[in-house]
Amino acid sequence: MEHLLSAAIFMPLLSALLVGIVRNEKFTKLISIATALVVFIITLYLFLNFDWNIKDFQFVSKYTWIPQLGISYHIGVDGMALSLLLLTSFMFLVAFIWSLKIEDRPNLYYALFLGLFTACMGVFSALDFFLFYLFWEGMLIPMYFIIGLWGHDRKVYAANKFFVYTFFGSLFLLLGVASIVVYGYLVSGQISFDYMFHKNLSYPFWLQTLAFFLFGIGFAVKIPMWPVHTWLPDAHVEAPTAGSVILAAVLLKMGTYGFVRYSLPLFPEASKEYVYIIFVLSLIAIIYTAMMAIAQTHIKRLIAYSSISHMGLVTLGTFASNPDALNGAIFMMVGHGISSAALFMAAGFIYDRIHSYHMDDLGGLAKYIPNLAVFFMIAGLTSIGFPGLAGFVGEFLILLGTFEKFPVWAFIAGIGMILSAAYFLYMYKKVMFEEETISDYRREKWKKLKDIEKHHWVSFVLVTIASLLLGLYPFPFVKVMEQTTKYVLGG
Amino acid sequence: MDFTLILPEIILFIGILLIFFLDLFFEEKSFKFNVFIGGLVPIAALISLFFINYPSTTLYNMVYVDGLNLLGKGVIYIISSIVIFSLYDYFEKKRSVFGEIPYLVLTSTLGLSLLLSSNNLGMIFMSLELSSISIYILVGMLKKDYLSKEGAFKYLIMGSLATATFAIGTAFYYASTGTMFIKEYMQENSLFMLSMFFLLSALALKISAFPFHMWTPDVYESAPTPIVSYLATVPKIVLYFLLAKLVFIFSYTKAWLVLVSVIALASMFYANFAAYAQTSFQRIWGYSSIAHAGYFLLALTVAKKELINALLFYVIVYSFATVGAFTIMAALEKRQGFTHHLLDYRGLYKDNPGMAALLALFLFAFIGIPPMALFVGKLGILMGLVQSNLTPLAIAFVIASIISAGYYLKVIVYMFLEEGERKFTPAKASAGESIAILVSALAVILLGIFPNIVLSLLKW
Repeated sequence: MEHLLSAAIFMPLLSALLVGIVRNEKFTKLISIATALVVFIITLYLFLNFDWNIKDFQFVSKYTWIPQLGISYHIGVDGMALSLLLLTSFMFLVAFIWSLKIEDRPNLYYALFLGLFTACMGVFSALDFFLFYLFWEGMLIPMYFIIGLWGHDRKVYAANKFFVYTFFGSLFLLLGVASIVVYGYLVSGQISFDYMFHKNLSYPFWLQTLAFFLFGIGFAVKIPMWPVHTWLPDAHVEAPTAGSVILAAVLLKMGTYGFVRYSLPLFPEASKEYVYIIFVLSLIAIIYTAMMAIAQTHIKRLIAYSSISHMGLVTLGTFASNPDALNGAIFMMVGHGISSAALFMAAGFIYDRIHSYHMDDLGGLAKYIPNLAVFFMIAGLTSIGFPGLAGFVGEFLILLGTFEKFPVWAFIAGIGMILSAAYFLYMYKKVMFEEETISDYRREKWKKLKDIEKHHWVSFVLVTIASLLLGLYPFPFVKVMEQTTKYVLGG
Repeated sequence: MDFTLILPEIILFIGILLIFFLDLFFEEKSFKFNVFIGGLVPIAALISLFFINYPSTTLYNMVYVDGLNLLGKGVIYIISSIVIFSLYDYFEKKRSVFGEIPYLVLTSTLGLSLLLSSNNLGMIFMSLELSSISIYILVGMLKKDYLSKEGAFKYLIMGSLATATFAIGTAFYYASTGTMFIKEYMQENSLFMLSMFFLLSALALKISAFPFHMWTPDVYESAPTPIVSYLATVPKIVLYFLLAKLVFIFSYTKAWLVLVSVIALASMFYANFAAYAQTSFQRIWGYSSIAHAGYFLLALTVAKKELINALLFYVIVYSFATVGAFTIMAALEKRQGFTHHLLDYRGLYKDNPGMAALLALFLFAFIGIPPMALFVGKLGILMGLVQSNLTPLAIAFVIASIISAGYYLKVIVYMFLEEGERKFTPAKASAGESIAILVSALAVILLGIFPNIVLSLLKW
């Protein structure tokens, strides 16, 4: 019990080493899926054993690590972290099943994903700044190679852009960490990277401001918020399907998670003072990138812009200083993870079959690959917040909570929701219907198209079940986050 | 007179004589064997460190030993040993077998080892020269290679300049303080300022900081690669240990902070931009080492133990990473026609996945990605700077690090993400090279995850 969380974090890394040693394709795929399954079961077990009524972190383990710098191996979860851990392990399971048919260097591919898995699990459970930063940066190298080696035409450009942007952000994060650690040392005479230690300190306003912006830059690049979002469309467009799935479903959540875990509780006054900066940036993200999405003809780029738009809603809810909005923001992290993953899977499938992402080359597909059309629709409806699916609960709660204090902002954000329906339905129409616009040559070709295969089925069914479960019975997920929300908002 | 205090130096000296005689009688036939003995000698010296009682002094206070310089000695013995083990195959493939190579590396190590345990500027001067002259010869050790001779000559000229400057600095130091021993001196007068200025210039030249950096890319490009891995690491570790002592005397002067920060900032920004213009991987390393001299000097702006500890840790792990990277490059260079032009690195991953992956590991370590140990060094310096109210320098450090990421990444892109045009035979690392690469890779990763192994030894 005590070490289950550590096991869940480090098991993928061990599997990655095993994969590197054995180098057998079948073994690689088997052990990767088995690892993801076991980790998923562990997180599910933790989720079921989680006590909703306790405010503190649970499943904590803490060991001294580098005493000279006050660094310890300290992990533990609250409701938010646990939900995101569940999402992470679930998404890796789906991505691993999806990639079963990969032929190009499968061992390295799965090994990199397993390394990424450990980094993602670690980010969400670390309670020590150093450990957090370690995992935060640790995800950079595997993702860089996943985009760079298995991407499409402009993969090198996209991989470099991804690396430089995120590295730029994380160094500011590091500077922020250094400044608060040094402040802690100056006031208490004890050097410590521990989260709980810093939670109990209260910083003066100037330091809160400084650290809020330094942390904020680091998180904003990862989310990504406007105007540092430009790496995301490129990274998504060039990344392989499973890479996009993990990038959208898990990696983007690290930034918003950082805001909720670090910025809000550690710098409460600064968060209140500069809330309008975040609001303005969020609304620009919601409206402007949604309009950008409408203008796209490349379906993956469209989905990428829609991700930025949805993440804008999450940051809006995070800073609305209202328990409902914050609950909604955390819920939406999970919901958006599921919907965007499903959308990227659908787009990736279309590319696998037709070798194009451009709407001009597509059209009328619903008739030839009907199963995909169904799953694509469900994914899209989840994304635009259709009631009964995972996306709705989060969006609704965010708008509800934000409306209480900031009705005008909530109203403008609501426009973004309408736009999201517009661009998704537009894309769906172009890709799946409008058969009359395609040439006879294409029609002939598409009669031979093969619909989704078994492993696609499994992946799609898994995400659809998750979407329905979250949409129809959100109670346990909202409940589990309640204490986090209270804790973060200082209740 | 307690001779156990200089036991490691005695062992090194006996080893040098032994190889000298072996070479005298067997000439080139025993080259491999000489190299093997040469690699074992520093290990024997390393073991002898455990028999020394410290702190204590001997030879009329000329030699003193404490925990800190024992750590320094331990590190330079390990690095010298792995460098010597790694070099035989390179010189054989390059048809430049000279019997002097192993013991010249050892004489340099002997000089630097004496420097570490010396508190007297005269003694420091002498031991620094012993090491420098050995390295001048080593740089020109490639037969029928014009560039190597040119590099050696350039290094000799620049090095002599440093020698002269150091001597003048010592003279001024003696004139103002009345002693050659490094000890606290709280007054500020023009002679003392001059001595600070000259000593700093001489050391800046040796560690290749900005206005005195010109020799670095040329020497890195032209010297035999295993020798570069030696001269880029061992002398630098020792000089930073020396600077760590000097900073406590000189940082009382007003000019110190300004002077050192200007040198540091100029080094890191100049080098990080200039590196983008390079097409040769070796020259990129040259500029990278200038940039790192800048980072290290940032930690010397004020006399603060946290900063100095972070610096020494950083220098040690930096050296391991450098040795690892250069040994891989030496192994690659043994192939016919390989020039270290960046285009030759294209598609390296396809031919040599293992070596490309390890080289990428070292490059990522240089960028400062955790869990590699260089990250802990960067973090320590960053925190120390913020702690000393030098936040602008910390921000400059961060910006310089971001800029530097680009040119390291460029190499990774060439290795992994592009297709090669020229075909080379697959590179093979010799046994010695494999040892060097593995030891440094392990050091870089293990010290990144458990930095307290070294940090707990950094006691004052």
